[in-house]
Amino acid sequence: MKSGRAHECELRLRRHDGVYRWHRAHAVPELNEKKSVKRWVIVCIDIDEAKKLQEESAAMRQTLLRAKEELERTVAERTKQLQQVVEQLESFAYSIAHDMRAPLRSMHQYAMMVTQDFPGQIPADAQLYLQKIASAAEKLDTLVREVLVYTRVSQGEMVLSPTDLDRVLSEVLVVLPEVNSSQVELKIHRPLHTVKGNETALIQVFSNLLSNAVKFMPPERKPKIEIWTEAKGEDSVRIYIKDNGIGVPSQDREKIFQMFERLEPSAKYEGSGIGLSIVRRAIERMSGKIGVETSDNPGTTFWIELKKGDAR
Amino acid sequence: MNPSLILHVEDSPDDRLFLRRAFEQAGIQNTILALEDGQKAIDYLSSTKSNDSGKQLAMPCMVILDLKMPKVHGLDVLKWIRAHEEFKSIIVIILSSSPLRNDVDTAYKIGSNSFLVKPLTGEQMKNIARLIKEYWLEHNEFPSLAGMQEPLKKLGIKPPPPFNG
Repeated sequence: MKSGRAHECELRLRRHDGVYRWHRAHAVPELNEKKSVKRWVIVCIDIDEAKKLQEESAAMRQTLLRAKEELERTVAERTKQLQQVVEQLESFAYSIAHDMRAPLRSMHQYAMMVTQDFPGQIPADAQLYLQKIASAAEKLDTLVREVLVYTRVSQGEMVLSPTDLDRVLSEVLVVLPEVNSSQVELKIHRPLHTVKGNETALIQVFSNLLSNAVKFMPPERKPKIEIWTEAKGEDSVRIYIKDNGIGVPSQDREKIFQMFERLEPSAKYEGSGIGLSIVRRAIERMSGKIGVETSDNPGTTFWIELKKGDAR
Repeated sequence: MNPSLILHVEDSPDDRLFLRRAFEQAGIQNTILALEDGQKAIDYLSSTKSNDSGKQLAMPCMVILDLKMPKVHGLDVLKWIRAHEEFKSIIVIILSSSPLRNDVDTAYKIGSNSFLVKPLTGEQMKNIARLIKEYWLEHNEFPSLAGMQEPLKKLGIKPPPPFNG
């Protein structure tokens, strides 16, 4: 008190009409020469309205907080349910795809057995029809196998670890003779960054992207593919795969990643329309991003963003 | 007696026919005994041990095993085989419809010698048969198993009559 400092407190005081209301009191001591309090100057302000508002808003905040928690719980629950449904659907797709392969095997092999075992007894057009049965079975089997790959990429465990992209690419090139050929100009700007990924999934990703790169190519053009990586921000890496193929119109940039979407008639370019869905699913499961850049030049540039190999 | 007998455990009659045909086309002369479910395979193998009834069946040199089968699943047949001392070293090749990651890993863990996926075409199946012949039946040395005889080719025994289905 002797410092002459102001004091402040909130208290309920009775008003002239007998109603108790909240007030804020400011008390300032006035000191004499001996540094003792000579008198107090006190100002009381009625803060009852403000106090009520404050209480109401605190109560409202509480209600809001409870509602938010409730909502978050519901969202989490629904997401979990939805994930379960998706998982069920995927495992359903897997079973169907799996079970479809056996009858396809029979279709193909019996058709071919007829042509092999009865030489000279089958008219030429019947021979052609049998051939068509076999190639239809082959086509469907390819589709079924890709659905199986898709569900495997979606469902299997995806352990992420630092992955050497050079190694991934050399593994891919072993199984893709159509890319690893003197007919294709393949330029890899080494060294490539190490990324945090799953090696098996990345092999699948690059094998789909590279086989697309040479597949969607006008017949007269020599395929050119370029691959490089760039650091992106603090802890990410962007991988670029550039080709000089037929390109993707900018309005179709999202469409190409959807299942069974095809921009070109299948008669012109073979394929099931699942390849890029597999790629996107795999990248998503590695917590990465994928996109496509288009320009006026012929060709397509895909980019994939993943965490750096040493990122936490 | 069936020297160099191969057991083919497969519930699909089509797949049994395709394998038999492919083996024949690849020039495999071993007798192939087809069994249509896992329980039959266990029953057969149980009877290869000498028993009181005197009906001792020939020990196969190799078991080709489908996975998805009624009664006893292929992986359970494999488990049973490896749990019995007298079959611990018998060659078991899984021939399944799909390379389900879990199945492949489990199969190897519990002692499969190989895991193959049924191909679509007869030509591919013939190719697999040719490779089985070259690797497993020609280059590979078989372990000794009680009741099993040397493969036919080594003994110069007349092969069984060709398949006519």
